[in-house]
Amino acid sequence: MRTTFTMLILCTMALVTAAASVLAAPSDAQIRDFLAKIQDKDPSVRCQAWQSAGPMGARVVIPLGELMASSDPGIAKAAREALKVVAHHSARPGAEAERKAVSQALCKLLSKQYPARTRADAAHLLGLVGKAEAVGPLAACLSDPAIREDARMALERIPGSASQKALAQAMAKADPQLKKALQQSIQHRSTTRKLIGTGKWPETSGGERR
Amino acid sequence: MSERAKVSRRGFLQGTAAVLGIPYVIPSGVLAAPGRPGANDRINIAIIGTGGMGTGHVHREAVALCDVDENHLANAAKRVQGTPFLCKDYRRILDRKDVDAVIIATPDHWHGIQTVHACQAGKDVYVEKPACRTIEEGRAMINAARYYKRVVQVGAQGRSTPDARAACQFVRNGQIGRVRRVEFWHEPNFTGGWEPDRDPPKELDWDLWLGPARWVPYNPLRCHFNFRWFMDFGGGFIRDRGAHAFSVALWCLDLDTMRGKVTVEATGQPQPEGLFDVPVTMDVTFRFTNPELTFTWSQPGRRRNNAPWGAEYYGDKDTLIVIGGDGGCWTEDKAKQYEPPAGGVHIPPSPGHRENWLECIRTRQKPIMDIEAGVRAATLGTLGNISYMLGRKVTFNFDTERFEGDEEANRLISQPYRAPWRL
Repeated sequence: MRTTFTMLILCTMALVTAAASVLAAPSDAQIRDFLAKIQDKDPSVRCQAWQSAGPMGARVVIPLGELMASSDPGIAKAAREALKVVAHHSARPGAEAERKAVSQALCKLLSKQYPARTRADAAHLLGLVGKAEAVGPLAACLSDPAIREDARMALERIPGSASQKALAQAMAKADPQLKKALQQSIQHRSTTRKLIGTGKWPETSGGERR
Repeated sequence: MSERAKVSRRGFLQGTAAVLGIPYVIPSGVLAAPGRPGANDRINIAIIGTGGMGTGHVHREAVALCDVDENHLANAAKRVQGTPFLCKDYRRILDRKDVDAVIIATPDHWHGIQTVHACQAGKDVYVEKPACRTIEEGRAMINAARYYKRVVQVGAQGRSTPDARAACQFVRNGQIGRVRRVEFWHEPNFTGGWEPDRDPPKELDWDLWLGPARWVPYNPLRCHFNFRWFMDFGGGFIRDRGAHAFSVALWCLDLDTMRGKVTVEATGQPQPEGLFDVPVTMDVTFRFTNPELTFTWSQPGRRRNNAPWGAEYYGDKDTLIVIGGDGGCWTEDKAKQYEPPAGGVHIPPSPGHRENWLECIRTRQKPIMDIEAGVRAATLGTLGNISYMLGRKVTFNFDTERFEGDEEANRLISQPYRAPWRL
């Protein structure tokens, strides 16, 4: 009886959250207006737009990624800052569906069709907001010299067994330099990062001077 | 070890005094003992990072100098007598048996790893503030200092000034009552324009300048002094001068080993143009639970005494203003004229920040701005920046060293290092 009641409450909460997401989702016109403001000639208009980018969500991730390559540094900056705001906003507690959608969109920016800086920035944000859905795309980048270091650092940050497994599996095909870097990530996950705050840190603080 | 390569304590102090214009003071009563140097023993010091803040640390009897910029290194070498060992990789300094202690004055993203490695190499350390860039680095620095039994002084030198000491004694002896609120103010962060990314100048090893930080192309607006205005490197004035102002406040309130939780909420106005990514203005509220206390950090905030930065302490009986908090620190006459009663809290005067460090190297006591206090002060700035970046309130638990209920914030406890660098 108690289990049924709990399930009912959870289902109701999920439905309410989903409904709220649909209601809060930006319209096509709002997205067009937002992207126009990100490209506005007036820096203050661009800045205001990027600060309010959070609720724009996953749909603006690819357009912003494209604008990050703009030859106008002001527009590129506005797009980069907006992408950060979107990512951080999506990772707020209690917005799992939104986070996952943004993460999946960021994974698309890892594609080789985008400049290396854009791909590196996407990898960096995935290290902060990505979960299991980001592991495969990031792992695929470990064989790409242009962003493999960014991908490795992002995987190092993503908790869970999927990212751990991806780092371990990449060892098999890695060159000696990458292998050493992957070992570093695996060790970091299992020592300092895992143990911080537990009072069980290795007394030597982990690594040794190279 | 050649005699010329050694630096006497007196020589170091004279050299430092000459460079910085600080009073030359030799503390007395420090005796040699087995396993520790005595008052007249020589302490060989190397400087890691000789530009920026490092220029003030270069003294004529330094035994070794390190910088990733050949111009910095050459300029520093001119100010040192004899032929000091010169290098661009700090690990070569740490390998040297003729170096007893190091002064680390590199950009912030190097402080953690270099301090840990120096402790592992058996060197005592003076590391510039802010002590660390991440929560994890701070923990590693404290652990390394304790495990390797090293003296690690953080260069937040306010605690070595007479006025900060006066403020500390005044507050700790209850002269303004129980403090519930401290308001910090500071002028806004610097703003900047655009420069195109380009190849680094030939004298600069950009890869080594970046070190453990994630790779970005060279840009003159990103390097040397300007790193302060990027979240990935400096983090703005809240981490720079904030490390000074928070240090004095934590000292006055006896909170160097603060426990419990703090809820942090930050807002700010970003820079619409230019390469820098720290906000121009910033307002942060820190609400501590143990004890119940609020800090506010405001850029620009309301100036007191027309000073560009400082803090006002609000007790239930009175208030106290402390201006600055680095080498230049000023407080009100009521605190300066106050003499603690017998049985009250008496804070021993510091002979000077570097002098205190040297004294502690000999006595093996904790310095006045020990690494644990330095990490705590730096952490407050870091927490403010994390809240600002995430755009939401965060709650950090000092006991667990983790954020509560926010996975993304917890991922910011550490920053993966670019290979092959690791703590």
